[in-house]
Amino acid sequence: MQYLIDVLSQGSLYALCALGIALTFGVMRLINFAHGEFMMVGGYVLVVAGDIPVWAALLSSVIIVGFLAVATERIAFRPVRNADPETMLVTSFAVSFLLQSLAVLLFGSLGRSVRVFPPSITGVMHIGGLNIRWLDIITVAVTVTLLVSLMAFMKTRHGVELRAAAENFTVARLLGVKANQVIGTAFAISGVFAAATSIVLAAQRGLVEPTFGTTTMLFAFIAVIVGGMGSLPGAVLGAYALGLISVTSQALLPLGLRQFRDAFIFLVVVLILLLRPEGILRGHAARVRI
Amino acid sequence: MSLRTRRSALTVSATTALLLLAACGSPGAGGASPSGATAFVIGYAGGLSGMLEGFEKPALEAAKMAVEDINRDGGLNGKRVELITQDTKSDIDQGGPAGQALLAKGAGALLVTADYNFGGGAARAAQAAGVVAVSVGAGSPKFGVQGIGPLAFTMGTSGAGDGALTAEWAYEKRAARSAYVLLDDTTDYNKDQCRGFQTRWRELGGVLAGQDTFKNGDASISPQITRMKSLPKTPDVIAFCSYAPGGAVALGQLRSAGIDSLILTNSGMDGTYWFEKSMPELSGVALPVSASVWGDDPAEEVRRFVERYKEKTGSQPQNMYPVLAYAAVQAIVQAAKESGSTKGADMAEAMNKFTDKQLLIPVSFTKDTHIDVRRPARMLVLDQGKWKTDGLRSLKKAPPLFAE
Amino acid sequence: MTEDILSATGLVRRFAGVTAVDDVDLSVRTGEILGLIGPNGAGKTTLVNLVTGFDRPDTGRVFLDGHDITRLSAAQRSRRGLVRTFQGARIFGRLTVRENLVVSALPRLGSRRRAESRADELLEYGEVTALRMTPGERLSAGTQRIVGLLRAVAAQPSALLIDEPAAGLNEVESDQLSRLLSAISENMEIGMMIIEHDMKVIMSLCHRVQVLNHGRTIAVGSPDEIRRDPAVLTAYLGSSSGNAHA
Repeated sequence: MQYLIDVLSQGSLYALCALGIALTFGVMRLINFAHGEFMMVGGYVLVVAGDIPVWAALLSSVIIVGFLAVATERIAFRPVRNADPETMLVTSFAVSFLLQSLAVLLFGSLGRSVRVFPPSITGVMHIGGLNIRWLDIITVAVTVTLLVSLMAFMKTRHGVELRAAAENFTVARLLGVKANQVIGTAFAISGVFAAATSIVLAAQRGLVEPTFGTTTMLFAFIAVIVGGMGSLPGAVLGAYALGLISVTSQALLPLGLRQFRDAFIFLVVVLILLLRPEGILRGHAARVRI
Repeated sequence: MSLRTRRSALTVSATTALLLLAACGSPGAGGASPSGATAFVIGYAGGLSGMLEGFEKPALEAAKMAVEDINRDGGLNGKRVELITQDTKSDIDQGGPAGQALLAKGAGALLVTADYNFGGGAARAAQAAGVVAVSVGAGSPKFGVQGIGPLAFTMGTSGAGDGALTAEWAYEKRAARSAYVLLDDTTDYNKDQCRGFQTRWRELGGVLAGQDTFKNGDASISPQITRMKSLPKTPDVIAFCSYAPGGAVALGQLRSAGIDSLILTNSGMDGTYWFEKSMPELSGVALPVSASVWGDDPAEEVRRFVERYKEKTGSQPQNMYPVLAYAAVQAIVQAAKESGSTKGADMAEAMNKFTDKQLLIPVSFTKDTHIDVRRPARMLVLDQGKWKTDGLRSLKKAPPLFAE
Repeated sequence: MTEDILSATGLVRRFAGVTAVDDVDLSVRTGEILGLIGPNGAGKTTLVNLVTGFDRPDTGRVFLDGHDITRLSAAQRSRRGLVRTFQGARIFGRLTVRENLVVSALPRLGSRRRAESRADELLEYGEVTALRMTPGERLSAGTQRIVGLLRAVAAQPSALLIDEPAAGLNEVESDQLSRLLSAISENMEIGMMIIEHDMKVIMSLCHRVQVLNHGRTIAVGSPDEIRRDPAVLTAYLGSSSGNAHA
């Protein structure tokens, strides 16, 4: 039961991050490795924000990272939009590297400690023999809220256009969907998710360093693949599946094997992909495009 | 001690190596240009940019201070000592080439990164060229005859020794009897630390309440905490073999889950940067170091050095590496003086004879052991957010340097 | 010329020595349905690509409502009112039927409300109102084709290119689609061009038929004229295409 809470909390974190990755992959077929660095920037915003009220710090993180994501698309990804996927991938590596170097330059490589929420809500509640961290509740609540908002957004005009473009960009463009606008929207939302992830992650870690987002981003990326590239419900499903796999393998593996936990996780992932090569939910990427 | 491999840094460095090469094609040699016959050149191969920058730049500053001091006192047998640098960009694969670049510029000795993986490449290049290489503080006994070769040395202390020392200290000075072992198995140093702790803890008669592992990149160690919480009784101490950033994350989560056992760790958790905002009142963390940079080191020379360092750089050092780097330069020059030669083999032979050689901190090597196993450690204890030195301690019984 | 909504003159397209389209003219008037037929490899697909902007001619020009659109991209042509449907419909599987139409209607109508009411009108028109909330991927092939057509119409095109509307459909579905096509043609101000193998569909629906063979136009005329044209008969008998019996 206690482990279930761990699964929910960890899965939610992966889900927040995975949705951001899946969104931009959906419209652009771009595997954005700079997403982890968007999160890192969000983390440093919280560090710099210091003692300003919590809501103001969170809001600035969301605004700045959202803006950064849109600007990155504008400056780095738009020129290579029609290039092959490898070129876009390398571009995202370059952006990632640039942002990390910038962080080292501005803040050093050692990392900075950060307190996101006041101590009163970083503690533990004891309910019926369970230890529930406030942070777990916040993590799940943030994920559910953003997920519901995203679903609502997808019914709006821009949401419908975004979904159409994610499914078949060429046809959507022919129907008059504006490419720049729809991709910009996807990056803005992706940035908001990166900021949300960074808030939860910074609260959980208490430390922000230049590689702040890297590991979570890699796991979220695996979640996206497991869920089915390009499918948003798939990304969420994949994230919770990965949370489940990683928590249970940590909890159940005997000590001698526990150090191979990540190898074990990847083994399960490979098995899933062998059974369902296109992911749990088949993504659009697997389908034929015009 | 060592600057440990960071899984995340590795990933990034591996994937961006190509970009790096493309973006920064020119070899970025810095420092003064060597003047050959009139000077003795020491090369520093380190991560002056990238993820190790936070450790290496302060170490380089201290190495420069050592060179200034030596030249002010007349240099090396009349020759000036010069320091040249080569940035490895915190990339393991750049270590070897960086070392070779420095040797090609006439370096007569190398200083290398305080980690076996990151510093090993340059040290191997030096060994192959018959030049001495001194790691600023790697905690691996493989810096030496049993690993890289007879010309490789490290100023650090071993993981096994560090772990054993915390076991003795906790058992004797804190009357701790039950221990939990929490290993971040990302690096060999961490494994050595936990192994050394366990060996000594059993010999002392302490109880091992349980053990678990995690990874430095883990965003959360909730499952580990859940397991620890299921123990009938909270252990007195936790042997915590990890390093910041991941170690800081895990430690914070232990504390916020209400686990307030005394935490025994290593110099990878030295510094205030990782908790000052998140847990300003943090207490109950202890670690052995070769030098305290927090103003209360028992040795006056160390305290004076730290003050000078602060004056020169305008910043508080976050760990002992500047002290070790200063001592490393002194060790190299001392070896050349004592052997009357700048040949690697002669210098190494002189260094093998160092016994409690006072080079800011005492340094001892033997023919077979090129990592210091004699140096008394300072136990740093964190109390209300402040590091305090709890006296000097020497190991009563050393565990094996290498795992069986 | 001025009454043609869509026309092309002297279109030529060569690929590595093969002339796929060789000096082809075409014209479609508002309210007219032009059928484009020809044996496999006659150059139909290439011609459609040239007209819709997926490919550019080596020489020749394309006009929409009297304006030269030869240099415009497919998306630009689409914005100016030259819309196409695709083989196999290509409707958005994860969008509902209504959303498929809304996406298409939005650019012209601007507001979501107006796009939705336009979509609802068309759904009624195509007798698929009951399916409006169904995701596209759950529809049968025939219904997908109808929705694809309605989606194209939702963009309020002045000229519509319809690529193999009946391919793979059964008789009932194909009849339903034909009825919808002629209703659209009669009630909306659209010039239509249909590329189709099914002669029954072509002959019953089209006002005029243009026949291609080896990249050249070999005949243009009413369905009756085409049926009797000796050159057309030769072209079809000479090829192995089995659809010439109609």
